[in-house]
Amino acid sequence: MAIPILKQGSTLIVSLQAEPTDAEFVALQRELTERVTQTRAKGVVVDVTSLDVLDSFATRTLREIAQTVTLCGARAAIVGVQPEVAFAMAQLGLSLEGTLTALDLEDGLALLHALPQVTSVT
Amino acid sequence: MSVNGRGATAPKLNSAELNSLREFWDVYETQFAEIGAEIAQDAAAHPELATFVGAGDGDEVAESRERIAQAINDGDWADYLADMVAAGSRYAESGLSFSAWFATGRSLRSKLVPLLIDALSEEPERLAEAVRGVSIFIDLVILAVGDSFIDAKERIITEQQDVLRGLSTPVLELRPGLLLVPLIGFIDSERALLLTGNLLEAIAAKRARAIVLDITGVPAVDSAVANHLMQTVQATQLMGAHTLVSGLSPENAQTLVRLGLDLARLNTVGTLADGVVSASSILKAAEARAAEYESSLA
Repeated sequence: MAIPILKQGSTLIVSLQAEPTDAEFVALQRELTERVTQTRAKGVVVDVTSLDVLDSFATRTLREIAQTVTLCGARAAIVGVQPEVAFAMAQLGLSLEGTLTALDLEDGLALLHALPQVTSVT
Repeated sequence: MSVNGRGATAPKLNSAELNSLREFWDVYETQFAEIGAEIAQDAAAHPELATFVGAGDGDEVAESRERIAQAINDGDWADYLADMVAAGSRYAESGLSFSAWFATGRSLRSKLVPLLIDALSEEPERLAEAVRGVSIFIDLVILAVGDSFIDAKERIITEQQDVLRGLSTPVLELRPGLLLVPLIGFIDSERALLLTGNLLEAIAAKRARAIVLDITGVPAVDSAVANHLMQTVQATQLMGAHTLVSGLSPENAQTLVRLGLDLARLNTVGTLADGVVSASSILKAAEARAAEYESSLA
Protein backbone atom coordinates (compact mmCIF):
# COMPACT_ATOMS: atom_id res chain seq x y z
CA MET A 1 0.00 0.00 0.00
CA ALA A 2 1.31 3.44 -0.90
CA ILE A 3 2.23 5.71 1.99
CA PRO A 4 -0.34 8.54 2.19
CA ILE A 5 0.88 12.09 1.66
CA LEU A 6 -1.32 14.74 3.30
CA LYS A 7 -1.44 18.37 2.28
CA GLN A 8 -1.90 21.15 4.81
CA GLY A 9 -1.59 24.62 3.35
CA SER A 10 1.66 24.65 1.47
CA THR A 11 3.10 21.84 3.57
CA LEU A 12 3.05 18.14 2.75
CA ILE A 13 2.90 15.78 5.70
CA VAL A 14 3.91 12.13 5.66
CA SER A 15 3.41 10.05 8.75
CA LEU A 16 5.29 6.80 8.50
CA GLN A 17 3.54 3.96 10.29
CA ALA A 18 4.93 0.42 10.47
CA GLU A 19 8.50 0.32 9.14
CA PRO A 20 8.22 0.83 5.35
CA THR A 21 10.03 -1.59 3.08
CA ASP A 22 12.95 -0.39 1.00
CA ALA A 23 10.71 -0.34 -2.07
CA GLU A 24 8.10 1.74 -0.25
CA PHE A 25 10.80 4.21 0.77
CA VAL A 26 11.95 4.57 -2.83
CA ALA A 27 8.35 5.03 -4.01
CA LEU A 28 7.80 7.63 -1.28
CA GLN A 29 10.84 9.59 -2.39
CA ARG A 30 9.59 9.68 -6.02
CA GLU A 31 6.02 10.47 -5.03
CA LEU A 32 7.01 13.27 -2.65
CA THR A 33 9.24 14.98 -5.16
CA GLU A 34 6.46 14.89 -7.74
CA ARG A 35 3.90 16.22 -5.30
CA VAL A 36 6.18 19.08 -4.22
CA THR A 37 6.49 20.18 -7.84
CA GLN A 38 2.76 19.67 -8.59
CA THR A 39 1.45 21.48 -5.53
CA ARG A 40 4.27 24.01 -5.28
CA ALA A 41 4.54 23.00 -1.62
CA LYS A 42 7.10 24.89 0.40
CA GLY A 43 7.60 22.41 3.18
CA VAL A 44 7.64 18.64 3.74
CA VAL A 45 7.40 17.01 7.16
CA VAL A 46 8.22 13.33 7.52
CA ASP A 47 7.02 12.04 10.86
CA VAL A 48 8.83 8.93 12.11
CA THR A 49 7.30 8.87 15.61
CA SER A 50 5.91 5.35 15.21
CA LEU A 51 9.09 3.82 13.87
CA ASP A 52 11.21 1.97 16.39
CA VAL A 53 14.09 1.43 14.03
CA LEU A 54 15.77 3.46 11.30
CA ASP A 55 18.41 1.47 9.44
CA SER A 56 21.09 2.79 7.14
CA PHE A 57 18.88 2.53 4.06
CA ALA A 58 16.02 4.39 5.72
CA THR A 59 18.42 7.05 6.98
CA ARG A 60 19.96 7.53 3.58
CA THR A 61 16.56 7.73 1.89
CA LEU A 62 15.35 10.31 4.40
CA ARG A 63 18.47 12.38 3.73
CA GLU A 64 17.93 12.04 -0.01
CA ILE A 65 14.29 13.04 0.33
CA ALA A 66 15.39 16.19 2.12
CA GLN A 67 17.95 16.94 -0.57
CA THR A 68 15.66 16.37 -3.56
CA VAL A 69 12.86 18.33 -1.91
CA THR A 70 15.31 21.20 -1.37
CA LEU A 71 16.30 21.05 -5.04
CA CYS A 72 12.61 21.38 -5.90
CA GLY A 73 12.36 24.59 -3.92
CA ALA A 74 10.93 23.37 -0.60
CA ARG A 75 12.45 22.36 2.72
CA ALA A 76 11.99 19.05 4.52
CA ALA A 77 12.06 18.27 8.22
CA ILE A 78 12.32 14.82 9.81
CA VAL A 79 10.39 14.81 13.06
CA GLY A 80 9.70 12.45 15.95
CA VAL A 81 12.89 10.38 16.09
CA GLN A 82 12.46 8.38 19.32
CA PRO A 83 15.20 8.32 21.98
CA GLU A 84 15.99 4.63 21.40
CA VAL A 85 16.16 5.19 17.65
CA ALA A 86 18.45 8.21 18.03
CA PHE A 87 20.63 6.19 20.41
CA ALA A 88 20.94 3.28 18.00
CA MET A 89 21.61 5.58 15.05
CA ALA A 90 24.38 7.41 16.90
CA GLN A 91 25.91 4.05 17.79
CA LEU A 92 25.87 2.99 14.15
CA GLY A 93 27.25 6.34 13.03
CA LEU A 94 24.05 7.14 11.10
CA SER A 95 23.13 10.78 10.97
CA LEU A 96 20.61 13.04 9.31
CA GLU A 97 23.19 15.75 8.92
CA GLY A 98 22.11 18.50 6.58
CA THR A 99 18.42 17.87 7.18
CA LEU A 100 16.16 19.70 9.57
CA THR A 101 15.01 17.74 12.57
CA ALA A 102 12.42 18.49 15.22
CA LEU A 103 11.04 16.85 18.31
CA ASP A 104 7.55 16.31 16.92
CA LEU A 105 5.15 17.28 14.14
CA GLU A 106 4.18 20.56 15.74
CA ASP A 107 7.78 21.68 16.26
CA GLY A 108 8.59 20.62 12.70
CA LEU A 109 5.73 22.68 11.26
CA ALA A 110 6.83 25.68 13.32
CA LEU A 111 10.41 25.20 12.16
CA LEU A 112 9.43 25.13 8.48
CA HIS A 113 7.06 28.03 8.98
CA ALA A 114 9.89 30.14 10.36
CA LEU A 115 12.13 29.55 7.36
CA PRO A 116 12.21 32.47 4.93
CA GLN A 117 11.18 30.39 1.89
CA VAL A 118 8.11 29.03 3.58
CA THR A 119 6.41 32.16 4.84
CA SER A 120 3.09 31.18 3.35
CA VAL A 121 2.58 27.96 5.31
CA THR A 122 -0.94 27.80 6.75
CA MET B 1 39.43 -31.65 49.98
CA SER B 2 37.27 -28.82 48.79
CA VAL B 3 34.73 -26.47 50.25
CA ASN B 4 32.64 -26.72 47.11
CA GLY B 5 32.09 -23.21 45.90
CA ARG B 6 30.45 -20.52 47.98
CA GLY B 7 28.61 -20.50 51.22
CA ALA B 8 28.41 -23.14 53.85
CA THR B 9 28.65 -26.35 51.88
CA ALA B 10 30.21 -29.24 53.76
CA PRO B 11 33.77 -29.98 52.61
CA LYS B 12 34.44 -33.31 50.94
CA LEU B 13 36.99 -35.12 53.04
CA ASN B 14 38.41 -38.59 52.49
CA SER B 15 38.85 -40.92 55.41
CA ALA B 16 42.58 -40.14 55.83
CA GLU B 17 41.86 -36.42 55.99
CA LEU B 18 39.04 -37.00 58.42
CA ASN B 19 41.30 -39.15 60.55
CA SER B 20 43.96 -36.42 60.63
CA LEU B 21 41.37 -33.85 61.59
CA ARG B 22 40.15 -36.02 64.47
CA GLU B 23 43.64 -36.63 65.77
CA PHE B 24 44.22 -32.90 65.82
CA TRP B 25 40.84 -32.07 67.29
CA ASP B 26 41.25 -34.52 70.16
CA VAL B 27 44.18 -32.41 71.34
CA TYR B 28 42.86 -29.00 70.35
CA GLU B 29 39.54 -29.58 72.14
CA THR B 30 41.23 -29.95 75.51
CA GLN B 31 42.97 -26.57 75.19
CA PHE B 32 40.34 -24.78 73.13
CA ALA B 33 39.58 -21.92 75.51
CA GLU B 34 43.26 -21.29 76.29
CA ILE B 35 44.26 -21.15 72.62
CA GLY B 36 41.33 -18.86 71.93
CA ALA B 37 42.49 -16.49 74.64
CA GLU B 38 46.04 -16.47 73.29
CA ILE B 39 44.83 -15.68 69.79
CA ALA B 40 42.70 -12.83 71.14
CA GLN B 41 45.81 -11.52 72.87
CA ASP B 42 47.81 -11.63 69.62
CA ALA B 43 44.96 -9.88 67.86
CA ALA B 44 44.89 -7.14 70.47
CA ALA B 45 48.52 -6.42 69.65
CA HIS B 46 47.78 -6.23 65.90
CA PRO B 47 47.14 -2.63 64.76
CA GLU B 48 44.15 -3.51 62.58
CA LEU B 49 42.65 -6.33 64.57
CA ALA B 50 42.90 -4.59 67.94
CA THR B 51 39.61 -2.72 67.67
CA PHE B 52 37.94 -5.63 66.01
CA VAL B 53 38.42 -8.65 68.21
CA GLY B 54 36.55 -8.60 71.48
CA ALA B 55 37.60 -10.79 74.41
CA GLY B 56 34.90 -13.33 73.55
CA ASP B 57 32.88 -14.45 76.55
CA GLY B 58 32.70 -17.98 77.87
CA ASP B 59 29.43 -18.81 76.12
CA GLU B 60 30.77 -17.83 72.71
CA VAL B 61 33.86 -19.94 73.18
CA ALA B 62 31.82 -22.95 74.27
CA GLU B 63 29.49 -22.51 71.32
CA SER B 64 32.34 -22.29 68.88
CA ARG B 65 33.89 -25.44 70.33
CA GLU B 66 30.56 -27.21 70.06
CA ARG B 67 30.34 -26.31 66.36
CA ILE B 68 33.81 -27.52 65.52
CA ALA B 69 33.16 -30.77 67.35
CA GLN B 70 29.91 -31.16 65.45
CA ALA B 71 31.78 -30.61 62.18
CA ILE B 72 34.73 -32.89 62.80
CA ASN B 73 33.06 -35.66 64.76
CA ASP B 74 29.65 -35.79 63.07
CA GLY B 75 30.54 -34.39 59.65
CA ASP B 76 27.94 -31.63 60.08
CA TRP B 77 29.81 -28.53 58.90
CA ALA B 78 26.84 -26.29 58.21
CA ASP B 79 26.86 -24.34 61.49
CA TYR B 80 30.60 -23.90 61.68
CA LEU B 81 31.01 -22.83 58.07
CA ALA B 82 28.07 -20.46 58.43
CA ASP B 83 30.02 -18.87 61.31
CA MET B 84 33.09 -18.53 59.11
CA VAL B 85 31.07 -17.07 56.22
CA ALA B 86 29.51 -14.53 58.57
CA ALA B 87 32.97 -13.66 59.90
CA GLY B 88 34.32 -13.22 56.37
CA SER B 89 31.66 -10.75 55.31
CA ARG B 90 31.94 -8.94 58.66
CA TYR B 91 35.70 -8.50 58.10
CA ALA B 92 35.13 -7.23 54.56
CA GLU B 93 32.40 -4.80 55.58
CA SER B 94 34.49 -3.32 58.38
CA GLY B 95 37.32 -2.67 55.94
CA LEU B 96 39.75 -5.16 57.44
CA SER B 97 42.59 -6.00 55.07
CA PHE B 98 43.20 -9.47 53.70
CA SER B 99 46.55 -9.73 55.43
CA ALA B 100 45.06 -8.79 58.81
CA TRP B 101 42.63 -11.65 58.99
CA PHE B 102 45.15 -13.96 57.39
CA ALA B 103 47.37 -13.15 60.39
CA THR B 104 44.72 -14.72 62.62
CA GLY B 105 45.03 -17.99 60.74
CA ARG B 106 48.80 -17.93 61.07
CA SER B 107 48.59 -17.15 64.74
CA LEU B 108 46.30 -20.14 65.23
CA ARG B 109 48.72 -22.43 63.40
CA SER B 110 51.69 -21.25 65.43
CA LYS B 111 49.81 -21.97 68.65
CA LEU B 112 48.49 -25.37 67.62
CA VAL B 113 51.66 -27.03 66.39
CA PRO B 114 53.62 -26.71 69.68
CA LEU B 115 50.53 -27.88 71.53
CA LEU B 116 50.36 -31.03 69.41
CA ILE B 117 54.08 -31.68 69.79
CA ASP B 118 53.71 -31.47 73.57
CA ALA B 119 50.74 -33.79 73.67
CA LEU B 120 51.86 -36.41 71.16
CA SER B 121 55.66 -36.37 71.40
CA GLU B 122 55.56 -40.01 72.48
CA GLU B 123 53.66 -41.10 69.37
CA PRO B 124 55.29 -39.67 66.23
CA GLU B 125 52.79 -41.27 63.85
CA ARG B 126 49.78 -39.73 65.55
CA LEU B 127 51.69 -36.45 65.80
CA ALA B 128 52.27 -36.44 62.02
CA GLU B 129 48.57 -37.13 61.45
CA ALA B 130 47.54 -34.36 63.82
CA VAL B 131 49.90 -31.83 62.23
CA ARG B 132 48.36 -32.69 58.88
CA GLY B 133 45.00 -32.16 60.53
CA VAL B 134 46.00 -28.62 61.52
CA SER B 135 46.78 -27.80 57.89
CA ILE B 136 43.51 -29.25 56.69
CA PHE B 137 41.54 -27.40 59.33
CA ILE B 138 43.17 -24.04 58.74
CA ASP B 139 42.87 -24.43 54.99
CA LEU B 140 39.16 -25.06 55.39
CA VAL B 141 38.71 -22.06 57.63
CA ILE B 142 40.71 -19.75 55.38
CA LEU B 143 38.88 -21.01 52.32
CA ALA B 144 35.47 -20.39 53.87
CA VAL B 145 36.34 -17.01 55.37
CA GLY B 146 38.26 -15.92 52.27
CA ASP B 147 35.48 -16.88 49.89
CA SER B 148 32.96 -14.94 51.86
CA PHE B 149 35.41 -12.06 52.38
CA ILE B 150 35.89 -11.72 48.61
CA ASP B 151 32.15 -12.12 47.94
CA ALA B 152 31.40 -9.33 50.37
CA LYS B 153 34.12 -7.09 48.89
CA GLU B 154 32.74 -7.68 45.40
CA ARG B 155 29.25 -6.90 46.62
CA ILE B 156 30.48 -3.63 48.12
CA ILE B 157 32.26 -2.71 44.88
CA THR B 158 29.16 -3.45 42.81
CA GLU B 159 26.99 -1.35 45.11
CA GLN B 160 29.42 1.55 44.92
CA GLN B 161 29.58 1.28 41.13
CA ASP B 162 25.79 1.51 41.00
CA VAL B 163 25.85 4.61 43.17
CA LEU B 164 28.62 6.19 41.08
CA ARG B 165 26.81 5.37 37.88
CA GLY B 166 23.73 7.16 39.14
CA LEU B 167 25.83 10.15 40.15
CA SER B 168 27.87 10.20 36.98
CA THR B 169 25.29 11.40 34.51
CA PRO B 170 22.83 13.84 36.03
CA VAL B 171 20.56 15.61 33.56
CA LEU B 172 19.21 18.81 35.07
CA GLU B 173 16.34 20.90 33.81
CA LEU B 174 17.52 24.49 34.07
CA ARG B 175 14.18 25.80 32.84
CA PRO B 176 11.46 24.24 30.72
CA GLY B 177 13.05 23.19 27.44
CA LEU B 178 16.65 23.78 28.57
CA LEU B 179 18.74 20.93 29.98
CA LEU B 180 22.12 21.13 31.68
CA VAL B 181 24.44 18.14 31.86
CA PRO B 182 27.48 18.80 34.07
CA LEU B 183 30.10 16.13 33.42
CA ILE B 184 32.75 15.51 36.04
CA GLY B 185 35.56 12.98 35.86
CA PHE B 186 36.79 10.68 33.16
CA ILE B 187 34.42 9.69 30.41
CA ASP B 188 34.76 6.13 29.19
CA SER B 189 32.58 4.49 26.60
CA GLU B 190 30.27 2.94 29.20
CA ARG B 191 29.65 6.30 30.81
CA ALA B 192 29.21 7.98 27.43
CA LEU B 193 26.55 5.45 26.44
CA LEU B 194 24.74 5.92 29.72
CA LEU B 195 24.90 9.68 29.30
CA THR B 196 23.54 9.56 25.75
CA GLY B 197 20.71 7.25 26.75
CA ASN B 198 19.72 9.34 29.79
CA LEU B 199 19.93 12.57 27.85
CA LEU B 200 17.78 11.32 24.96
CA GLU B 201 15.15 10.04 27.38
CA ALA B 202 15.18 13.42 29.13
CA ILE B 203 14.77 15.27 25.83
CA ALA B 204 11.69 13.23 25.03
CA ALA B 205 10.27 13.49 28.55
CA LYS B 206 10.88 17.22 29.06
CA ARG B 207 10.46 18.30 25.44
CA ALA B 208 13.87 19.93 25.58
CA ARG B 209 15.06 22.06 22.69
CA ALA B 210 18.46 23.19 23.94
CA ILE B 211 21.10 21.37 25.95
CA VAL B 212 24.34 22.52 27.54
CA LEU B 213 26.89 19.76 27.98
CA ASP B 214 29.44 21.17 30.40
CA ILE B 215 32.81 19.42 30.42
CA THR B 216 34.67 21.79 32.76
CA GLY B 217 35.10 18.87 35.16
CA VAL B 218 36.44 16.43 32.58
CA PRO B 219 40.20 16.30 33.19
CA ALA B 220 41.40 14.94 29.86
CA VAL B 221 39.64 15.16 26.54
CA ASP B 222 41.29 12.93 23.96
CA SER B 223 40.03 11.69 20.63
CA ALA B 224 37.98 8.90 22.22
CA VAL B 225 36.21 11.31 24.55
CA ALA B 226 35.70 13.79 21.73
CA ASN B 227 34.14 11.07 19.61
CA HIS B 228 31.83 10.07 22.44
CA LEU B 229 30.73 13.67 22.85
CA MET B 230 30.25 14.04 19.13
CA GLN B 231 28.01 10.97 19.09
CA THR B 232 25.99 12.34 21.96
CA VAL B 233 25.59 15.70 20.24
CA GLN B 234 24.53 14.06 16.98
CA ALA B 235 22.03 11.80 18.71
CA THR B 236 20.38 14.82 20.35
CA GLN B 237 20.25 16.57 16.96
CA LEU B 238 18.32 13.63 15.54
CA MET B 239 15.63 14.47 18.05
CA GLY B 240 15.59 18.08 16.96
CA ALA B 241 17.47 19.47 19.95
CA HIS B 242 20.49 21.76 19.88
CA THR B 243 23.41 20.76 22.05
CA LEU B 244 26.24 23.10 23.02
CA VAL B 245 29.44 21.87 24.64
CA SER B 246 30.91 24.27 27.19
CA GLY B 247 33.97 24.35 29.40
CA LEU B 248 36.58 22.87 27.09
CA SER B 249 39.86 23.90 28.71
CA PRO B 250 42.59 25.62 26.64
CA GLU B 251 44.88 22.61 27.13
CA ASN B 252 42.23 20.22 25.91
CA ALA B 253 41.38 22.47 22.98
CA GLN B 254 45.03 22.44 21.92
CA THR B 255 45.21 18.66 22.28
CA LEU B 256 42.16 18.20 20.09
CA VAL B 257 43.47 20.53 17.41
CA ARG B 258 46.82 18.79 17.47
CA LEU B 259 45.02 15.48 17.03
CA GLY B 260 43.52 16.95 13.89
CA LEU B 261 39.90 16.32 14.87
CA ASP B 262 37.10 18.19 13.14
CA LEU B 263 35.11 19.47 16.06
CA ALA B 264 32.82 21.89 14.30
CA ARG B 265 29.92 19.58 15.08
CA LEU B 266 30.61 19.74 18.79
CA ASN B 267 29.19 23.30 18.85
CA THR B 268 31.61 24.44 21.53
CA VAL B 269 31.14 27.64 23.47
CA GLY B 270 33.39 29.15 26.15
CA THR B 271 32.25 28.78 29.70
CA LEU B 272 29.17 27.25 31.22
CA ALA B 273 27.72 30.77 31.52
CA ASP B 274 28.22 31.37 27.80
CA GLY B 275 26.62 28.01 27.11
CA VAL B 276 23.56 28.84 29.16
CA VAL B 277 23.20 32.23 27.44
CA SER B 278 23.51 30.72 23.96
CA ALA B 279 21.20 27.86 24.78
CA SER B 280 18.65 30.31 26.17
CA SER B 281 18.62 32.27 22.94
CA ILE B 282 18.24 29.06 20.93
CA LEU B 283 15.36 28.11 23.19
CA LYS B 284 13.82 31.56 22.90
CA ALA B 285 14.02 31.39 19.10
CA ALA B 286 12.35 27.98 19.12
CA GLU B 287 9.60 29.23 21.41
CA ALA B 288 9.08 32.31 19.24
CA ARG B 289 8.80 30.05 16.18
CA ALA B 290 6.21 27.90 17.90
CA ALA B 291 4.24 30.94 19.03
CA GLU B 292 4.36 32.51 15.58
CA TYR B 293 3.26 29.29 13.95
CA GLU B 294 0.40 28.96 16.39
CA SER B 295 -0.79 32.50 15.77
CA SER B 296 -0.55 31.94 12.02
CA LEU B 297 -3.02 29.09 12.41
CA ALA B 298 -5.55 31.21 14.27
